[in-house]
Amino acid sequence: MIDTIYFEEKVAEHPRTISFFKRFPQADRIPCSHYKEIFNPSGQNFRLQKKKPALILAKNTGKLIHSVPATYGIGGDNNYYFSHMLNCLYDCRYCFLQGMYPSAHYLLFINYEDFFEEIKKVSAEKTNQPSWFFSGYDCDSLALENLTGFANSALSFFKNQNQTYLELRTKSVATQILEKTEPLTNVVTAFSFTPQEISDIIEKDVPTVSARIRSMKKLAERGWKLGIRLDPIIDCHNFKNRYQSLISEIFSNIQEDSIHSVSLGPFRLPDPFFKRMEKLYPDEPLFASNLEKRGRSVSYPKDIENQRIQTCNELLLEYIPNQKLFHCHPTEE
Amino acid sequence: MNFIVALQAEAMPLIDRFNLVKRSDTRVFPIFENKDHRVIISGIGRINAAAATGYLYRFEEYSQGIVNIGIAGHGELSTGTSFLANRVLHSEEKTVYYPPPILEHPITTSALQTCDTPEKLYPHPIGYDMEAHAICSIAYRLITRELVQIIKIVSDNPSNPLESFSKKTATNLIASQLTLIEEIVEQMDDLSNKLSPDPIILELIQQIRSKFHFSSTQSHQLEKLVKQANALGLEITKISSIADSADNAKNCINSLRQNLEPIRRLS
Repeated sequence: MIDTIYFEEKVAEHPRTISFFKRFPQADRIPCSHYKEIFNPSGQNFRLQKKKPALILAKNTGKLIHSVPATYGIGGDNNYYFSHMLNCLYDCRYCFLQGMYPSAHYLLFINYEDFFEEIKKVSAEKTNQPSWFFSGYDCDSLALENLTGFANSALSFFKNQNQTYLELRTKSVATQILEKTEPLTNVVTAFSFTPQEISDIIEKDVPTVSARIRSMKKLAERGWKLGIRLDPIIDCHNFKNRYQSLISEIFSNIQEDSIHSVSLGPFRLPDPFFKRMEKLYPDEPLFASNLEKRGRSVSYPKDIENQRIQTCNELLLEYIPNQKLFHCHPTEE
Repeated sequence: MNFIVALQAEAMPLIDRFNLVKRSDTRVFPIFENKDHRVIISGIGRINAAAATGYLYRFEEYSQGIVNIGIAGHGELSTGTSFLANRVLHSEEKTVYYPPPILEHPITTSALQTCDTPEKLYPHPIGYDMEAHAICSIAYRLITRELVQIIKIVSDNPSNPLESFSKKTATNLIASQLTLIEEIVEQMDDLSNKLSPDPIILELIQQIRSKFHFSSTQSHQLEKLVKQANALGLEITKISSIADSADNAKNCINSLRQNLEPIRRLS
């Protein structure tokens, strides 16, 4: 699975680095001074690298916790995101990572404890107010858990936190760590979906909708709170039927009381990212869809976007109360 | 594929294997070529290697990948062993290059240090050559990094230190690795083709452009629309017939746009 491991010389002796070396004894080990020497240079091709990504082990010494735009929350007032990893196991054609990063290598920051310390610090600044920390913006939170053990470490940390909430966002079925851990009331595992027919076309390597629902069901039975993320909403033929069937399949398996929140997000990409992605995949039908530039983003025309969101909204309200439904609006609107 | 080699002796096996013929119009660096491949002989050292790399890309048709092939010293590997450079350094340069590991081949990999004089002490268990760092420094500005790879064959090491250069040995070492070189070149050509625009679509765009007078903006619009039509599954014959039924550039663009409108949704 991993043929090449780059590692910063300063983390060469870190127990996690050593454990990766043991786990992949055949992998080519290549030292570097700083991960940016490999990850950042321009003139790399994301599409070619995605065929055989390497693993980069590094220490993040920069800003670890970032604010989330005000329009992206799921009920809390203080929202932050963090990325212990950049890039993802899956290959979703709409994913902004392809337009944002020059490299498709998996960049793992192994100083997990520094993230947790920072979360504690940021949380403490908001005395007696809940703070939400979102994981999975720049990677899938669980897909590589088997490799990284990050969620395992995060659960141990969040277990002892009050007023500090974690969202693990995923398309994975690698939920074993949650299944064998006592549920925590301050952790929500949020699964992203598009209808299966769309997933087949534009979400390469992602587990089937049914497999993800089975994982959700196991977590619900164990007592974990779940999130559902229909984000991005992808316009398609037979839109209403496909989303209806998706939503119906989810709620025929998952009880409403296991659902913490459902959020809807329109397809949107910053224009420079879209241009890069279009260049990487000139044959991609998604990029030739009915999209337009609005402000600094590329999205569906406003009327289409509103109709599709409205449709999903109505379909979801058949199963959940309005207070569990959230909308992610692009920040410029 | 573009091969950059330092010496004629290293180039000979490639010239023979691919039946390359010398270009008569290149006086700065000798280039041997056929339809698919070419070899440029740079001469020894960083300046020559950098200049030859840049020189290659004066020719528009040479837009594919680069493989630097040559003999090298190594602090650890046995003579005759080939290796793919995974890290390319120079003692006086801050920049280290990391050729992206995209090839599926069980070839040995190694760091490679480019030196300005032949390395005779082999202080580290890495390779030593005199060109690769300079080639990366130029090639990375010209083409995507995945399509620049460095293959070296060990000619000397601490047990068999470099005493004198033998042209025959250099030729034999490269010749012994031709099968491997061909396999790597095939893989790189596949990758390069994936990045190249579909020649049928390019030809179609050219054909349509030749029918009417397109302004520069219209020409870009046409190119985008034809590529989108292809992505959306519109057949070439249909695109062609839409263009044929137009009577000017503006009309052609509008007509293509109208025909795409109903199919601009994922099915």
